[in-house]
Amino acid sequence: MGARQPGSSRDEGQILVVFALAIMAIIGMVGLAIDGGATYAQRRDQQTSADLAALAGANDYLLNNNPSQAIARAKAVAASNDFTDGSGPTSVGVTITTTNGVQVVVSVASAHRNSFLGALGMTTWQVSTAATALAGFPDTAAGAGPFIFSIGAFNNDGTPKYQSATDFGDANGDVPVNALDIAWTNYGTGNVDTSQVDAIIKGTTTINKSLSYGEYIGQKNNGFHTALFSDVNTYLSGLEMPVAIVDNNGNFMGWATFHVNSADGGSNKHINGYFLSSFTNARLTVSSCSNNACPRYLGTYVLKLTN
Amino acid sequence: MTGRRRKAATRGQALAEFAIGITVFLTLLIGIVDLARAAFLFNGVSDAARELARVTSLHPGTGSLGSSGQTATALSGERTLVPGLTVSSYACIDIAGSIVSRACQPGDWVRVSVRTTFSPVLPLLSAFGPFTFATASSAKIQ
Repeated sequence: MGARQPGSSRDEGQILVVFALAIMAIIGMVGLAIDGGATYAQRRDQQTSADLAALAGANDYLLNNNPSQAIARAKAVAASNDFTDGSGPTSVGVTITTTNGVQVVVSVASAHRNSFLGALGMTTWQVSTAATALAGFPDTAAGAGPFIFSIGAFNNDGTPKYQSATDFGDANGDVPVNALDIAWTNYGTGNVDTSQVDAIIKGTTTINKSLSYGEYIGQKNNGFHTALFSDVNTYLSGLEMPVAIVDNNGNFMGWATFHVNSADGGSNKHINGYFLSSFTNARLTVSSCSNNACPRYLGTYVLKLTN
Repeated sequence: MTGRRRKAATRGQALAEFAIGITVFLTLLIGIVDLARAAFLFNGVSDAARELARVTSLHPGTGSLGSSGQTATALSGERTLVPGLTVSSYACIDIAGSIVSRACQPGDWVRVSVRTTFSPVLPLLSAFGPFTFATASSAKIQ
């Protein structure tokens, strides 16, 4: 046996321990970066898959009114986006409620297989996402325009007479006196005040009111409110919105969707635009709405994500 | 040179080698740890921006963008993954990316800008830090 080098074998063992601890730290941190990053990416993919599946399910229900078919459609869309129900650790749950429109909730649960952190005992990380889509026919007018049109602007079958750019605003009195006239309104919540309607146009004031069929919603002071035309031009040009339709006495009859092109408060005092939809006399409400949560249009149906 | 003196010299040499070796080793080790932390934090900030943009697009809030309870819940959830996460702004933009001056409405987009600071542990890097990681994500308001 040769002379033993002082401390050599003891140092080697020590370095082995230090190296083992260091490699654990390296695997842990690199694993956190790589596996963590991949898990973030999977979460986004999984969320997108859930979103699309929910929208597809809601759309299918709207078209076919068949819950089991809508559920199958949602699962098929999730599968086409790499999350197949029952495949490995992936499960896709779909529930449908129809109390307020149709709401399709899709929950996608899956596991991210860790590449590095498996060495430290964490072989998978659970990733869960969910999405809710709403579909249905709207029964609430949120963000309705603060001006009213005459029932005379519509044909007997409810279709609009004016579907291309038209100037509206012949008399601008308390109520629209003919098919091409308009009047300002605050939906029957008192005398029409310029600053109040100005705030409605800008979205800083919310009128929340359920209207009765035949309720008077015209003005009471025959005001021109000339300043409001420039507000409409500034804030509502290019937008679609529900507008109330009244009879010759200013009584509420129903709704239609109107597109605002522009408005001129000079000598003309008119709002230029056209109707996008037929007249409907469904008993709608003007619902709570603010400047940031204010759908100013009323489609024939709604299909959107809600959660 | 006697055996005792040779033994002492070897021990001193081993100590010097160890000191140099451990410095290089720890610099590399902590450097890897810092790099990994930075990568994880940057991924986290990116994900937070996307998640907050999605939630805010579904729940814009009344009054101002980002004021909904759902956005607040999502933000606190993201902060558990990304400490110090701060939202710089919730901007209402059009599809071209220009700020919308009128009231924000469905069909517009919300752009959420977020940031956080990263402080490296390695003295060599921390001398230049802390670093700010900032990113933004947009989603169409429903």
